[in-house]
Amino acid sequence: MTIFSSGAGKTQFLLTLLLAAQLDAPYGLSSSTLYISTESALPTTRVSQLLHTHPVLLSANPKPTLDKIISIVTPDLESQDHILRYQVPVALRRHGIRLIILDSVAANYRAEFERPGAGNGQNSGANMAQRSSELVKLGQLLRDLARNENCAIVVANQVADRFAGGGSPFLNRTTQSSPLARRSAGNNPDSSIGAPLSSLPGVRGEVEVNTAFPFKSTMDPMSLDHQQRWFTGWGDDPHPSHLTIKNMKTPSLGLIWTTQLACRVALIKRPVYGPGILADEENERGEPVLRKWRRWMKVVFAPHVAPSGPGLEGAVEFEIKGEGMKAVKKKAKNSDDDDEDNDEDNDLQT
Amino acid sequence: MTDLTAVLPGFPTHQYVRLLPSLEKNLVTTADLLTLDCVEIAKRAQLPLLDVKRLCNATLEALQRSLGIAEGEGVQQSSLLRKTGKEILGSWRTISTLDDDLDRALGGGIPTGYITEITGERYATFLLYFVIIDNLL
Repeated sequence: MTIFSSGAGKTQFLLTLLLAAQLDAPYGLSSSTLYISTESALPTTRVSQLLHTHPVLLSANPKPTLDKIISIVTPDLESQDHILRYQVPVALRRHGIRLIILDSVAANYRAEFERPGAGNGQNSGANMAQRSSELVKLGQLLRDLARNENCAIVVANQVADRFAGGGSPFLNRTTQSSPLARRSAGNNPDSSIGAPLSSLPGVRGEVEVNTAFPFKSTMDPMSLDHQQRWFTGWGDDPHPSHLTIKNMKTPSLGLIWTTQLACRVALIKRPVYGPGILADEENERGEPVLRKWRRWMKVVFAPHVAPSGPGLEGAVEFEIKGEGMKAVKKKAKNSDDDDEDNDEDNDLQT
Repeated sequence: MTDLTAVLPGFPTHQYVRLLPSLEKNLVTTADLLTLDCVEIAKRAQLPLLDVKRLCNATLEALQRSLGIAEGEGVQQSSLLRKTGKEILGSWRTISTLDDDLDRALGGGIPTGYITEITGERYATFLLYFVIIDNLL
């Protein structure tokens, strides 16, 4: 299997910001930057690759350096909280930092609150309530930092698969994080395919679902399952394809966390398959022939700019190359056929 | 009540020091102080009604002041949460993504003074392949 840069491009986005913030006015804030990581250390080789290949960074004077990126790893929630509360404010002033990146915000919360054993029965509800209050506190802490020091705070968040009703039995799991993760377009996902997701399913369908599983019908317009498409970044496509519906995601940490944010940017990737995805074209792993990924950046909500709008129409398509992220210029409609030549993202590994 | 100092950092808690432990024990939050009836809070925390009422009013007032919406002499006080358009424009800075089209979509880039979330998939989800196969067969 070819090594794809399999992520949606979050890391590339964040690394670019780490360097761009060091630039002078039109691009950045001429300041040091802080990278707080919960999983792996700062990928310095990639940062220096960007530094040596990105045209804007190359022509900059003074040049951004790795020296001005302060990085720290916070392996657990306790240290994360301590560092954010007591060390970051001091570091901000000492180094003149104007950009804080927290990558990723969910990892430690997931480890702490979703461990097995902590999640059964009454306990799980109490756990989630406690997590919510912790998230509110974190949000408040970060907001105060952003406001008082006028610095930019960027948090990376993971997504979880969103499952429709109960398609295959092995998919029908409920995760801890997840009134949000459970999406139900009625109980039988196939019935809603082809019908626009943004409208209610046909009355007949709803009645059937209602009689079979009285508490599973959640296309109630007041329900979270219905409304989350407007703030998660996934599911607002007015004409979703089969694949789109199956590939629905939900950012981690749920509604409570969402309310702590000012701005959410979703990076969406979609696979592009080879000419045939028929059974005999599959390779021995039983996968359809995957040619490449296409990626889009979508503004889900923001205080200063209009959201990108439903689906991927207003989203900006970009590609990740050795020299960084680049928007794909809009060409004629069927650009699918002529992008064979820009498969250079194969040599990157996130 | 642990959240009172977080919500209102400058609140003179020492004046109400007698009330706070009991409120805390009974899980009364700052939101409760603002939304519930004083009588109910007093009953729940078994505290004198007048003291609770005083605390509720003080909390409300302090909140309004911190928002810059208090009436009377406090109006012109500077507040972190209340800014004029000029102040916002003056302090408005963004960090570029170093690509013009992406920047345009983001209104210039990532703004300072706010929390921005970048969300997206991390690894190829192999589960996805099962789902696709599931539907092809």
